[in-house]
Amino acid sequence: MHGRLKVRTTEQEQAIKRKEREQKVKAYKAAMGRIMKIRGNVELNDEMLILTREVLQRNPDIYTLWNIRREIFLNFKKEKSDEEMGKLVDNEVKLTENCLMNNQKSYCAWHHRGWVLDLHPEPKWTKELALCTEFLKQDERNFHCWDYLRLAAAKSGFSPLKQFELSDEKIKDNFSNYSAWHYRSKLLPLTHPDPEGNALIEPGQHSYELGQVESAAYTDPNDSSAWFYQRWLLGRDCSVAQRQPPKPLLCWLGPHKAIISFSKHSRLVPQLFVDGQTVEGEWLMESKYVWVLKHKIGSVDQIKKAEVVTEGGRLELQPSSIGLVAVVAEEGQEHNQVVMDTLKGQLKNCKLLLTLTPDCRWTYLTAVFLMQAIDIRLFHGETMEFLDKLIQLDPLRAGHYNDLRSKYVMEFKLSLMEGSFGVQESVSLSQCHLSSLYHFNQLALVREVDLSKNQLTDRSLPALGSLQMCRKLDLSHNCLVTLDSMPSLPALEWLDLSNNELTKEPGRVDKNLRNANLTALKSLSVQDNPCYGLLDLEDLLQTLSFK
Amino acid sequence: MEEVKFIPGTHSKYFKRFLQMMPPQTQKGDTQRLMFAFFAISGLDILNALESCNAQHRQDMIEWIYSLQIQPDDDEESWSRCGFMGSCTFKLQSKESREYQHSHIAMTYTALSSLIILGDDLSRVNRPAVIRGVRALQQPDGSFCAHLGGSENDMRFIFCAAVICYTLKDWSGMDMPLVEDFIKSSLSYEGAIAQGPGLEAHGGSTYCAIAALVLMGRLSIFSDEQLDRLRNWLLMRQVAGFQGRPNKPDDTCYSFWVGATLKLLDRYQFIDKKKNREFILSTQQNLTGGFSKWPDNTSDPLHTYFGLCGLSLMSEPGLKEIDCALNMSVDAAKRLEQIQTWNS
Repeated sequence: MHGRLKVRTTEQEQAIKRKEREQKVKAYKAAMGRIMKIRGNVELNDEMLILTREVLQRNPDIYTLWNIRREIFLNFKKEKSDEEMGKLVDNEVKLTENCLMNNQKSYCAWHHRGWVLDLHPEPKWTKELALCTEFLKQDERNFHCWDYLRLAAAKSGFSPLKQFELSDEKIKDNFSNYSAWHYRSKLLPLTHPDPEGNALIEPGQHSYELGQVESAAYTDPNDSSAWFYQRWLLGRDCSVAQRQPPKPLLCWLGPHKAIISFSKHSRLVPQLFVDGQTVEGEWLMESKYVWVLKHKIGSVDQIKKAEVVTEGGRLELQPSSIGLVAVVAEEGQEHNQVVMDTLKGQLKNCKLLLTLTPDCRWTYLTAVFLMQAIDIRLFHGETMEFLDKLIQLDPLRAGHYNDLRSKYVMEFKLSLMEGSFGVQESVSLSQCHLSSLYHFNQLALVREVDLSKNQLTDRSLPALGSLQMCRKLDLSHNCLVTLDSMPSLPALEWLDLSNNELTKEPGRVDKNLRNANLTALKSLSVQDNPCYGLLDLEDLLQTLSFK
Repeated sequence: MEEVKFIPGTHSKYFKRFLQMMPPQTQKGDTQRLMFAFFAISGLDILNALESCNAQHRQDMIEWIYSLQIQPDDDEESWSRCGFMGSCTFKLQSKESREYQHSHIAMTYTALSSLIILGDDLSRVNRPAVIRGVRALQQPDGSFCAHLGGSENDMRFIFCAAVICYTLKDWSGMDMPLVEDFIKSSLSYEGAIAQGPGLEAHGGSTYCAIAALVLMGRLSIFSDEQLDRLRNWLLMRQVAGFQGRPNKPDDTCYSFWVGATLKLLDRYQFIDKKKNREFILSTQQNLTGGFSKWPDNTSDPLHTYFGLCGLSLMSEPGLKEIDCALNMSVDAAKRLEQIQTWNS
């Protein structure tokens, strides 16, 4: 659908147009009828070519008509001489050009052009490159044309290196050239691969690319394509990305229960071995990252050796004050010295750019990503400041920036706990401006969590499913409304939901609490909520403990 | 600025007129009438106006759609042509010329979806034939062509194939690993998905890829990191309404393409709903009904349909909720589920 501007016409003009259209429709129907009648009749191929040409010049998007022409050309290929073939293909190419003048984005016309040129005895693919350049001058973003350009370059026998030089030209012409960055990102790994195999692109070229991006950013900091390209260069796609299986992070074995928390979603049922024997029982996936086992072992004090086996490796559990435990420190982003230096250099440039153009959101956003990649603790304060600035400069995406804040706050807090978080008794996340919950799989063994005074909504509830050992949970002063998708929390004894927005809707909150498997719950507060007074707390608590 | 009022009644009239007769500007779409019909049918459904079309009219539409189905004949090869055509323009009588009747993958997709929305139970669909017709269109690189006679191949047709297989609950219609490979190699440096490898990331192709993966149950081919980068790119598309690519003007239909993808990736709550709604309504055509891609342009069925979908994502009163992966109302999706249970 192409935008068609509304144009006012007089009644007379409208009448004339109507008549013209009627005649066109008549002609079209007549042509189509005849086309269908004579299809397949080789003797009438010449007439067929004339008829289909007529229709296609006005309606270039009718696949079947192009297909018919292709059938005829395949016949020609068998019978005609090279010279005749050359002329026929040249004319055909001209036809597609006429159609493209009419609609530069016609899938059919571009496709047919590429197809038919292959039938030419001496196709001039390099001339096609010139054609593409012309079209791109009119509309740089015409991806049909870019696709055709790649085809033409490949058919011209251009090596990836030559194609790379082409993209270099296009970028030098105009930095704001999204498609060219694109093209480049695909070619670089082919033309300049890292000989050591440690990264996607050879380091010297990698630095050159970063330099290009810098120039682009200084020329026009508001051009997002350069920033996205930079992110790609600095990202893990450009270092050898290993798809890792989900790793077990935390494991606990106690009387009748075992818990395993993973780095990411694990679909395979884990296995627990105690003193060489498999522990039988029921394994359940209690949340996206956490598996829980109900087993029959009453006391774990006498156990000599306990081991858990998962798709991401084995863990040996050690005795601790709370039972048998295994804790694996999650590797943060490991960057070698070279990469670190690059990142630091880029951050320096960003900060310099900010002194020149202090209102560019892309610079702030990139700086935030860089800071988080370099040192979470060192840059925490500045990251928060920059996020505030981003909300000011780009209010449309305030929700997104707050979400990023929630993630970084969590990562900061975890970095402070470092190692001890696994067996930490309690964690306070009160007044942390949290609107989303990230990395809760790291809190699977924590017994008390304070999430009061944040901006949490019902959407965050499923993440709490990782808190399978939590006895005390404070969710007061948040923005919870329905408690839909409240996860199963069988260890929970104390829950504070006061000062939220829990709905008056009859039975809604009640039902969600009953479905959350809160079998150990002894204390529940729902004060200062619309639903307060409508919930029979005593009855609820009694029923829950009977389940 | 005076607030523009949403006029669902006028849009219903627009679509109903459209179903009676297509305006001359759409002559170029003659062979793809089924797709236009889908916009009107699903559009009316989302407007809660389909029931008000009389039952006979709905039945007529169902019959028309079935008349576009291509059945196989004794020739084994003919199975590859099966599916649905876009219109009767190429409906041929003689047996010899029947070998020229090819289905079009987007027409097969819109046929099945339209049938479900209209209340049909798909009992007259030749399932094995349709599936084989889809499979025949898959290319060695994993993408799909539209048409056996030859056409371009890209992400749009992967989406069509995925919906067809999902609807008929038959994934032999595609080699899934190949599709996954094509999608992965179409991920651009920007972190979003293009029509094909080496091209610019685009809101439409990103929707097609993600929705297809959701239907296939294979969103897990992307790591959390990759999905986060994608979410970031999508959220950056909001200008007031949404644009399809960086540095392009916003266009009504992207409120759906980008919006629905954000819904599927659980980040829709981060958009600015007020600005999005204002933009969509600025493209509303109050006289004729419908929506256009930009303000002060003529409305067309595609932008009308996706404009309505864009409003529905924000729970606009009077509109049905949409199933973002299937691109139809949740009601229709539930009916599909029922049909699927009856058949198993």
